[in-house]
Formats: sequence, structure tokens, C-alpha cells
Amino acid sequence: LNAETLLLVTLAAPAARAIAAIAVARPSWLRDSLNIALATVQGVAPLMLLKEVARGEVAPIVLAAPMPDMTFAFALEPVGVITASVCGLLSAAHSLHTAAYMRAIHEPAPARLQTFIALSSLMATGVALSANLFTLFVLHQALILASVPLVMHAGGEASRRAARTYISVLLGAAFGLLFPAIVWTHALGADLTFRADGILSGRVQPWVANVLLMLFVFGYATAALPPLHRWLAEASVAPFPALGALHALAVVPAGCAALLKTTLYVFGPAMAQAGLAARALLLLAAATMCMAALNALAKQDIRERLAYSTIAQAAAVTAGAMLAMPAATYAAILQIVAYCFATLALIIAFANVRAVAERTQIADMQGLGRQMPWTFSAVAIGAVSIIGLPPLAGAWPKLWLMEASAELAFARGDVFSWFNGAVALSTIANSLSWLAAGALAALSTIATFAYLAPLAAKALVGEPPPHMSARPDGASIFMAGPVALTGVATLALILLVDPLYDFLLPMFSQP
Amino acid sequence: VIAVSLEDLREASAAIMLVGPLVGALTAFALGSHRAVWSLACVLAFAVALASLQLATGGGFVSAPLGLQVDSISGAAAPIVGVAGAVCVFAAGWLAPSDSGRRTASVALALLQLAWFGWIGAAFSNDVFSLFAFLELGWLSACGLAALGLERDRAAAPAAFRQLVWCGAAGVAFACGAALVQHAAGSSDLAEIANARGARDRASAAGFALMIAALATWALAAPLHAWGGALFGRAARLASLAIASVGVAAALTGLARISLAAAISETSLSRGVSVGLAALGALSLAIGSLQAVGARDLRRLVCYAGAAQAGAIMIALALGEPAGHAAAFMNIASQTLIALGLLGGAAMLEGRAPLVVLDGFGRRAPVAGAAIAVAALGLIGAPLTLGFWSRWRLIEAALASGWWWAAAMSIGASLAAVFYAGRLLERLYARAEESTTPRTWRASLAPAHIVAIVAAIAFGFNAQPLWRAAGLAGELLAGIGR
Repeated sequence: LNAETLLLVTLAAPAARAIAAIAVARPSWLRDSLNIALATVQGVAPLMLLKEVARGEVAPIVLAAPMPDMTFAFALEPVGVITASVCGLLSAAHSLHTAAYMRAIHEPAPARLQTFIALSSLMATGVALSANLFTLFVLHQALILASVPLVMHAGGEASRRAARTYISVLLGAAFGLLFPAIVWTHALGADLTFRADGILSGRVQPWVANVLLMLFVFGYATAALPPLHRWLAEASVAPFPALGALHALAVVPAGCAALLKTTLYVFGPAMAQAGLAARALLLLAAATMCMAALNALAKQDIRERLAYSTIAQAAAVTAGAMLAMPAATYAAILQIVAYCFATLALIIAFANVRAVAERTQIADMQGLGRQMPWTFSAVAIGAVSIIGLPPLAGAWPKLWLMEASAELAFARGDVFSWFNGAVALSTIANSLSWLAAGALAALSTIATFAYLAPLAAKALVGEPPPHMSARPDGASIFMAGPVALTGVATLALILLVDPLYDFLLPMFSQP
Repeated sequence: VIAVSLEDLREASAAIMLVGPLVGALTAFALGSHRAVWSLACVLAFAVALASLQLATGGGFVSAPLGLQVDSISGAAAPIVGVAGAVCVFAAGWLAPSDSGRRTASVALALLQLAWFGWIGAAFSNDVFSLFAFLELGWLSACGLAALGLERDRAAAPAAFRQLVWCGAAGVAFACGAALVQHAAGSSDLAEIANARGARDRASAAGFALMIAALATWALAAPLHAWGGALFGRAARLASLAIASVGVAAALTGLARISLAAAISETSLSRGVSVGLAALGALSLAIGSLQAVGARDLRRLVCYAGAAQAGAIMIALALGEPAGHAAAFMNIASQTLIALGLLGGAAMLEGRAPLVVLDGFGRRAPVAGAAIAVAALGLIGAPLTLGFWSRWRLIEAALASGWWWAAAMSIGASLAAVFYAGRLLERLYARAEESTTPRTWRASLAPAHIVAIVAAIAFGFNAQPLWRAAGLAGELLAGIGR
């Protein structure tokens, strides 16, 4: 299989999942089997693409040319293929878990849920593999629309209200901020195709670069940077499989990937001209990492707590993108990988708790780890990775972020030189902002520890509930298996930290 | 030989577009049987639609009957008024007897085709007086058609009367404006008016202002759209479908011609017209969007959203650049498809159409629901619909001219549309349907639904043919100017 074919397979697999879920709604075993098989293909194909990318393949595919100067096209590049691989691999585990979970809770509309999860996955993969801003925008919008039914799947007024917030925030940001940013970029005479040296490089004045960066970053509201983050918290009314898609498989990862692609391939060296906006956004992202973690601590419903956890984790990606230097970019990419695996492990683990013990309140989970050891072991691993405790993969992005911040802060002299007048005041202010960002990132790990560690610890060592299930873990093997699998995968990511760096090295060594 | 044959074919197409509706209207007046005249009208409408598509290909000038001429602007407008009008004729198969009763159904059909003839003639007119005559014929016929809704709703009569008063006043204003312009320029031909550079005076400026105000009234631009809400809400559904999709497109094409003539002159008049159009456009965009946000009735919402769209088109025309004119034609096409989708879908609903009746409508009437949904997405400017490209080109043209406020207003209108069109989508698919309402399907309305869905999405995927036609219309600005 050549690179073009693999790229098409990567995109076709989730599309086929969606079609299969509608076309073969019954019998359910056939629908689920097809979904799992196609999700596995979706996971394997981008893994094979990684090799092609390492060989320098771009494999551009043009599907349509709606306007003379615009194409609907896909191409290979490292950030996109890594994101597509993560979404694909997790989709395989998630589809298996979803099939079992829906049986366990007697889900009334399983085919609809699977269809929209697959569609969201398709759009997210498309966003990641898009070759230009136009394609990215189209699929980003399609992703928002495809994921709305997931938010309102449960039905009722609460779901409708959540869907209203979801649509207003995400579509509002996309049309009010992202759309003008893209049209403006095009109006500057730039071709919208992503380029390693940045589309805007050499085309923009500093004030334009600053405004454009703001428009782009807030336009990708799917990356959940405050103040455009409420949609994720309100979407907590969605069922657990839908939450998996929103947090770890489709919406948030796609937003993060889009943001990274924009800073790398749209701005590139022009990020230096958008320094003011970048520093402001960096501080906002670092503050979000702390504040969202503190907010999570206040939430007693596990779905809401996970929502704020995801907001904090996605903010780390934004922080990495805003630092705009190789170490930070690497941290941001690794952060996407690490948080997606860990978050999905947590979501499907708590889905098991909901299905078996019918509990979603944190106070009710004490001692449940005795009854559900597999599930809560995965919770513990996911929690350690999200907190950022070494050696798990989740620790390294935060460390690299802090290191990158410090490197930028002291690039023009150490602290002592600030006081002897050798360094300009503006440079000191910049350095302080970078240092503050690094410090906030460090503080966020403490806050994250506070909202995740006691939860896992109390569940594992607390007093067991009075009526223990006779079956190990209480859940079926098809529910416990994917949880254990993602837990192990989260653990195994430690082994990928170095290979990932080697894989990305050519990107950083480009002039 | 091929070139000559194609030229002959285009001339024949222009003739078919004008003669088809006229023959259909006269036959409908002469014969009383609705079924028979509708069948004949459908055949003629199909021929007109094909002819209009033929006219859209290629540029240049083609002579048409009645002293009319097809140029790039007519070429861009022809498929819009041709296909939308044909779809209205198909829809009349059920809507005419349902709105007006069996006995007067053939009269409704005749009036519809007469209005269509007038609007096609207006799209082909390059002379202010023939433009006036054709538009007036179209609007008077549409007024009669609206009044025939009396059978269904007694409020149709005052709605039609209000339309008569407003459009009559607009007609008088246009006629006065045309007379003033002819007096100033010494000709009623728009090309000659555009090039009569020495004859600019206050009379000419007043004439242009009156004509623009009249065309804005016919195009349902706010605040001159006071007749539209009542008409769409209460009058015959066929009348509102035809006016929103064909009549407004014809009026906006006329506006494009008038603004083109003013823009080419490159004098203080062109600046004055530009400022006037921009101000009226901005007002219409803002008022229309606000009213659409507050609308509680689907048909009224179409009127207000149409006012917002008309405002955007006027701003595009005010730019006085080829890119602006091309963007305006993209927007006219988009607006027509949106009107077809929303009003075509709403035509399935008997009686008034408060938003609450849309609850679960997407499941009850899947095709009509999809037409409304696609139109709603077009209003928002969602990618892969024509609405996206029309908005894109408008914002790009505005930015290229340094009109930041226009780009910002267009984006603001999109955000407002996220609210009011999103509400339609929510009601269509996220609300529980009324179990007592049966599933519905009307074959004669299917073309409206299918054209609204297929064309909006097809042009969303490939807008190049439309962009070429719109581009030719825009290039006329540069062409005549030289």
C-alpha cells in the first residue's frame, strides 16, 4: 500500500463505520463487529502512515476544487499523522467498549450514537490530515455539526440546553473569529496550503500577525481555551461514549491539532511578529491549566470533573504552541498523545462504574476499587499520567514546557543581569511573562494532583461497599478489557517518548 | 459553425425564456381547467429552466425579443430567475388550488406566470423604462396572486393591499427617478447613462436615489420591507414563494444594473450612489438580522433573513468593484436557494407557521425538513453550502477594498444567523414530533425541495460555474468602463 492509498484508507475507515452503523443497524452483533473491525483499520492505517512520513512522503490528495484558488485536499505531515494515529488507535478500544457499554445500560439508540461518534472521528481525522486552511475549516465546522447529536443524545431539556451552548460557542467562534481569520489570510494574497515555512511568513505586519493569532486561537474554540470553554463543561450531560469522543477521540484533539498546525504551518517564523499576542495567550493558557484544575476540584460529578481536567490539559497544548520553539512544540505534540490516552482511560473506566455501580458522584466511589480492580487500576494509571508524575508520558510535556519557558526567559541574560541595567525593561517583562507561565504550569500539576490522586486512592484503599459483585470487576470482559488496554497503553507511552522525538526531529531541523 | 450554432441557441434560449411564461399565462387565463393548464405550464417551465441554464454559459451580448438584450448580468441572473420560477410553477400544482380554491387555481397559475414573465423581462432590461415596466408588471401580478390567498386566510387581503401600497409607491418613485435620469443623461439606456459623463447634476442624483429606493423596496431591504412580513405570514404561500425566490432576485439584478451604471461614471454621483447603497445595505443587514433573531414565525423569519441578505448584497454592490459585483451575484443565487428551501419547506404547513410547528418536522417530512435544514445552514454560511462561498467572496471583496466595517457586519450577520437558523435546526431534529401529525409528502413541492438541497450543496462542493458567471457579470463593470 502506498502513502496515498493509506491516507485514503485512514479517511475512508471512519466514513465506512458511520455508513455501516446506519445501514446495518440490526442485528446488533453485526453492527458492533463491523464497527470494531473498521475502527481497528482506522487505528492501523495511520500507524503505517507514520513510516511514510518518516520517509518524507507528503502524498497530497485533492478531492475537489470548489473555487479556482481553493482545493479540498489532504496531505501528510507529522502533527496530523500523529493526531490521526492517536484518534484511530483509541477509536479501536473505544468502539469495543462502546458496544459493550451500550448493551450493559440497554442504550435505546445505539446505532445513532455509533454513527455520530464515527462521523466525529472522520471529521477529526480530516482536520488532522487537511492540507490547507480551507479544508481544515470545512472539516472543523463539519466536526462541530457532527458532534452536536452526541451532546443531545440523552434527550431532555438539559441536553438541549447543553447543545445550544455547544452550537453557539463553537459555531459562533468559528464564524465570528476563525472564518474572518482565514478570509483575511487569503486576502493577504496568501495561498492557503500549509507550508513548513509558514503561509504568513514575510506577508504580515506585526499588528496583523497579533490580531490574526488571536482570531485563530479563539476561533478554534474546540481547543477549549477560556473564555470559550463552557461548551465542554456543559456537554457533561452526554453519555460516556459520547464524552470519549468529545474529550479524547475527536473534538478537543482536533482543536488542539488545528491550533498546532496553524502556528506551525500558517504562522511559522511569523510567530515572532505575533509575540505580544503569543505571550498573552501563553499566560492565559498557563493560568487556565491552574484554574481549570482548581475548578475540577470543586466538581463532585465525575463527568464535570473530567471536563475541567480536559480543559486544563488542552490548555497545555495551547501553551506549547504559543511558546513557538522546538522543545515546546514537541511538548505540545506529546501532550496531545499523552492526555488523549489517559483521558480516554479515565472516561471509559468511569463509564464502567456508571454501568455496573450506577455511580457518577465522586463521594460514592470510595472503596469501589476493591470491587473493580481492573477499572480502578486504569483510573490510577490515567490519573498519574494526567497529573504529570514521572516516568509516565504525561510528565514530559509539562517538564519540557517549563524548560522551554525558562530557556526563553533567560535567553538574553540571567536574573543577575536584569538588575545591572544590561537588559532592557521590555525584555525583562517578556522574561517575567515566560517565567510566570512556567511557574503556573508547575502549579497546575499540584492542583491536578489534588483533584485526581485522592479520588483514585480512596477508591482503591477505602472501605469496600457492602455488596460486592461475584464477577471480577463487576463488568463484562468487553468493558473491562478496553479499560485495561488503554491503561496499559497509557503506561507504555513511556517507551514512545524518545522515538517520538526522533520522529519529529526532521521537522525541527528544517530551516 | 459551432460558434454560430451556439450563438443561435443562446438567442433562441432568450426568446424561450420570455415567450414560455407569457404563453403559459395566456393559456391559463383562456382555459379554466387547472390540471390541464398546469401540465402545459410545467412543460413550458421546464423548457424555460433549460434555456436559462443555456444562457448562463458564455458571455457577450445576445439580442432577445421585445428589444431586450442579454449581457453578462442577464446571463448570471437568467438561471436564478429561470430555475426558481420554474420550480414555483411546479409547486403551483398543489399550492394554487390549496391557497386559492379549485375555481381560481388557474387564475393563480396565470398570475404567477405573468409575474415570472415580468421578472425575467426585468432581468434582461438594460433600459430604465423597460426595467420599470417589467418590474411593475411582475409586482402587480404578484399582488393579485397574494390576494388570492383570501380563500385560506382572510388576513391575506390586507397583506396584499399593503403590498400594493408599498410596491405602488415604489413604482411611482422608480418612474420619477427614471424620468429624472433620462432628462439629465438624454437617454434611458443604462449603458449610455453610464457613459454620459458630462450630464451629472442634482436631477440625475435624485433620479438614481429614487430608483435605488424603489428597487430596495421590491428587494425587501429593511427598513423598506414593512409589507413583506405580513405578506409572507398571511398571504398565499405561492405568492410568498415566488416573490422571495424570483421577484427579489429580479429586483436585486435591477439594482446591480443601476449601481453598475453609477459606478462606471467614476464621478461624485458614483460616490454618492456607493455611500447610499452602503448605508441602506448596512441598515438592512442590521435590522433584518435583529428582526430574524426575534421572529417567531418561519415565513416572517424568511422575510427578515432576506432583508439581511439583501443588505449584504447592497453592500457588495456599493463596493463598485468587479469583485463586489461578482460577490453580489453569488449572494443573489444563495438567497434564492435559501428562500426556495425555507418557503418551499414551509409550504407543506397549512395555515400559519409559528416556529413551534417545526418540532420534529424533520422526521415527519424528511425531504422538506432537509430543504429547510440546508437553507438554514446556508443562512449561517456553513461550509459546503453556497451560502459559505457567497459570504466568503463578500468578505474578501470588502477586505480588498478596505471596508473593514462591511466585513465585520457580514460576520455579525453570520453570528446572528447561527442563533436564528440554529433554532430552526434544533426544532427540526432535536424536538419531539407531534405524534398526531401524519407524515407528509407533496410531489409538486418536491422540485423546490430538491433544487434547494442539491443546488446549495453542489455549489458548495463546486462553485466554479457560478463564480465564472458571477465573475463575467462583475467584469462588465471594468469592460464598459473602458
